[in-house]
Amino acid sequence: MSEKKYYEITPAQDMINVMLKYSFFHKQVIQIPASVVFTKQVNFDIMKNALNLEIERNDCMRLRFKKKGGKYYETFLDEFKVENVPVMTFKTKEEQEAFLNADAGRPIHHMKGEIFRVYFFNTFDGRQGVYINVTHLAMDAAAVFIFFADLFACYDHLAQGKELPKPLAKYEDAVQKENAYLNTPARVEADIAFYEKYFRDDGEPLFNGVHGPELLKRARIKKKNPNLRVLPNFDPIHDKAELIKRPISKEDGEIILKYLNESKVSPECLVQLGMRLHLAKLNAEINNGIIDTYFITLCTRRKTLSDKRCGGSFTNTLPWRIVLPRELTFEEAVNKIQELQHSIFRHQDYPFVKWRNIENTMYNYSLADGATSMMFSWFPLEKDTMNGWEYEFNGYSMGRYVMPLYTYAMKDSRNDSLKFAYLYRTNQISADNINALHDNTVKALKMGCSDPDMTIGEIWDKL
Amino acid sequence: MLEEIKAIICEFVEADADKITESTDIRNDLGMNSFDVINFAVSLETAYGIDLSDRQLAACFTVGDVIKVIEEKAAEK
Repeated sequence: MSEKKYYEITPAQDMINVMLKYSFFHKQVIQIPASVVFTKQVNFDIMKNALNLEIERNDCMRLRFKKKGGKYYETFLDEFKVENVPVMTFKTKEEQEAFLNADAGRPIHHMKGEIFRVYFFNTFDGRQGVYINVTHLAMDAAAVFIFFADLFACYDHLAQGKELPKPLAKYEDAVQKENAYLNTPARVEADIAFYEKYFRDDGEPLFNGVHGPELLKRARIKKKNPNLRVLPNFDPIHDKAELIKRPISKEDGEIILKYLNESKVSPECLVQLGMRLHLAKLNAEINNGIIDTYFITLCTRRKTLSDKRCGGSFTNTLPWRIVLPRELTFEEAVNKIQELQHSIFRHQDYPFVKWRNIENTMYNYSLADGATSMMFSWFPLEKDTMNGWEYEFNGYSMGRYVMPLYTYAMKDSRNDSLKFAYLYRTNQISADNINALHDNTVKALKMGCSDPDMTIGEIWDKL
Repeated sequence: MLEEIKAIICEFVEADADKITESTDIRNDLGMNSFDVINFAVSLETAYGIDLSDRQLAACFTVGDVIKVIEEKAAEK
């Protein structure tokens, strides 16, 4: 290698690499295509200069990757400039969606020096927007939000002379800190002890799929094991995926947001409860009516102020399995999920590949077995996230995905409500499955947020 | 110890260290949300070589409460 300083990729990036490794045919599965549309009218020549200023400020955009001796390494270029950014003008919503979705599905060749693609565009309805498609090795969702916010600050600086915000923290410094974690035995041992107890305490998890109990029932017959609790979940071939976006009405959003603001619970925990109630109800035949659900969530791991101003890929997946007695009130159930959040977040640094290995060893799972087919993420976007610009954030489908279902939710800045998105593999999950999940999640949340003393059993009965 | 705790606090929230006292409420005055409190606690555990249970954390409202529990845990060692 040259004199440039190279670092091993971090445990969080290694998780992405593992997902890529087992996505044999479609490498675009681990990319983040997203856009922000705004009503402010901008000059795209200045926006291009703002983009180059952003690249100077945001070192994750100057990453380059190499493989040597079976290991992956990264380095940071001192300089990189984008010479040209295509500017599109869309006449219809369909044209806009088709174009951006088409790019979302094109792989980013991160091992050949391509880290991101950016388009500027004039929307069909008189607004303007910026789209980025970036490898998840360089950015996670939090980094994408940081990118957009800082880009708009750079634009305001160049266009209006506004002061630039503080410099972004260097991902290069974070990479070194991240890699040092595995050399802190006390912390690693504490994390191992936590996960061993965590996976043991409630016994083997039970697969509660968003498509209902059929897959597990079929697997039980095939394996001649009526007590089977998980099933092979690995399918690198049938990875075609579609995205359903479901915003909720302002009226429904008001009920949920009122409760959020008054109770100060984490929105991630609140939304999860709605989803868990639906999953448990759907799979009642398998779980004997017990609310015992397991799905993975993403943790941004942006802990300090410095982390919150840092690009890069920090995200780790956390295994959220929780058993909720039916007699708990809605409020008690949210608090119980929040208690779990508190304890599991203490161990958010322990890498996915390692906690997965603890679980697999404990229950003798093969690499393909999975107790869940679902991942959830709360995007912490607020009205003022984008440097004060009025904005609309959108994700896009890569056309393929690494697991059966990824769902994310966020506050909808345009109507002060909430919006949900579901990226699902079409060979296993249908649009009807997704709409049922969404509708029941919202129904459960509305009931519970309107009357937090209602028991989750009572809510279950009404789903 | 107050100065050390203030420095750690300022890693997690925007705060004027000069205005932080032992009676400063970490949630209501400093604006720490539950995620910040957990990460703050982990940072304290690393800095002082102690374990803080969720119950102890939940009982810490002010900076003074934090100092007290650290001193108690350190004395147990």
